[in-house]
Amino acid sequence: MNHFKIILLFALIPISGMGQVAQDSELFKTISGLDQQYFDAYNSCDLKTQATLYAEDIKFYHDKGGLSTVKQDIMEAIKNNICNKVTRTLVAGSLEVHEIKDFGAVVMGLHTFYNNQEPNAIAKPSKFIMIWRKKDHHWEIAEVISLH
Amino acid sequence: MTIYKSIIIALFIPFLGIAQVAQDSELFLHLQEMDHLVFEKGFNNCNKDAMQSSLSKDLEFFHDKGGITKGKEVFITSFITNMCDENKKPIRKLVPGSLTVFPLRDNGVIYGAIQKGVHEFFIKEPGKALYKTEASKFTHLWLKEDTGWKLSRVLSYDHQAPKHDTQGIKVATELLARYSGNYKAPQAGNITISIKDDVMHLDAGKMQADLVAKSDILFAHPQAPIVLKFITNNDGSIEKFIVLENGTPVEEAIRIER
Repeated sequence: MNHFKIILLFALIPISGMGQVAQDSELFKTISGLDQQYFDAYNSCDLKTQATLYAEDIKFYHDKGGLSTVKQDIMEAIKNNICNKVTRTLVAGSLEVHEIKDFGAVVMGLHTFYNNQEPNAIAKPSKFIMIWRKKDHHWEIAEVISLH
Repeated sequence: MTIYKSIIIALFIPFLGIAQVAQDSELFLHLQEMDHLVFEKGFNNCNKDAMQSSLSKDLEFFHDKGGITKGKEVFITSFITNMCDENKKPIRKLVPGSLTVFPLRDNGVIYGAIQKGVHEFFIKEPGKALYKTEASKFTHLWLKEDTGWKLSRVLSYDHQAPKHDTQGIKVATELLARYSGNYKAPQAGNITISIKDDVMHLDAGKMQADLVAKSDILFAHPQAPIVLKFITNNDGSIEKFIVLENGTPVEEAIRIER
């Protein structure tokens, strides 16, 4: 194929496909629903739901607590440090979703944490990046990068 | 610690982003060098050794349009096969000032970092000026391994085609009528120029577009870097148009009938 033709074909790619997915797209709704489902479980100490949404080979990169790659350890840490103590709130409008073709999605956003053990701490929004993998019809969190 | 003291300490935390390292810090500068190693030496110059030494063995590359590529060896092989054609070589340029770095610590010790930025991609072709094909955002996860910093996760997203100038001028319908007709180009084949809603319409079979008038003789594609330049015979009839791609003539379409 000659070059002129290649460029003409490129010109056919609809502009709507560019950039992050629209907030009214199916993918955005799915991911934002999953984010809510996960963190509702996180805030209410529902370890079972959290475990279902975490991939067996999850990698959790924490900017203070190091890298965890053992799901059982992560669940244990959540049970000990989060349950009945920490509440997570997503900063409204901060969610950004990018589709990863034939795989899932990359999600970025800002959230704040309130720890009832440290009632006077100032809740500062922190960044997070999550890689969601779609396996058959089930979505799971493959990787989490948490920046404070 | 008293609340008073915590507030005083909190005031000293710079509000420049969230825990982002300073641009003159050792970590920032080192990862900037690593970026240079991966992309300037590795990507732009197709240097396999540069990629071998800077990528993690279990590299995972997430591309919004291309999907996932797993493993360093698979990635390098695919890269060398697809991105190293000297006749059409992709070139990556970091947008100056776009890099930000966030450290990842384990008990106070840095074990990794997130590096974010924006880059632009161009195509280098022999005898042609470099031309831009797309821009995208990236998030890179770097991990400190035994043999140094390695790029472990690549998230490449928000790919955007370069914006083209869609501002045109109004030209007389009589002029468009003179250009209307069938043309034949050696590579693109038959092309029909017509008038649609008072603007020039191009039909090249698979591709159709309303062109934007830039002058009485120049008509630009609204999304692609293509401009048609019409050439008139001495008797005032239309002889042909030249297809300019990024300003360079790529072919000529000869008028075959009115």
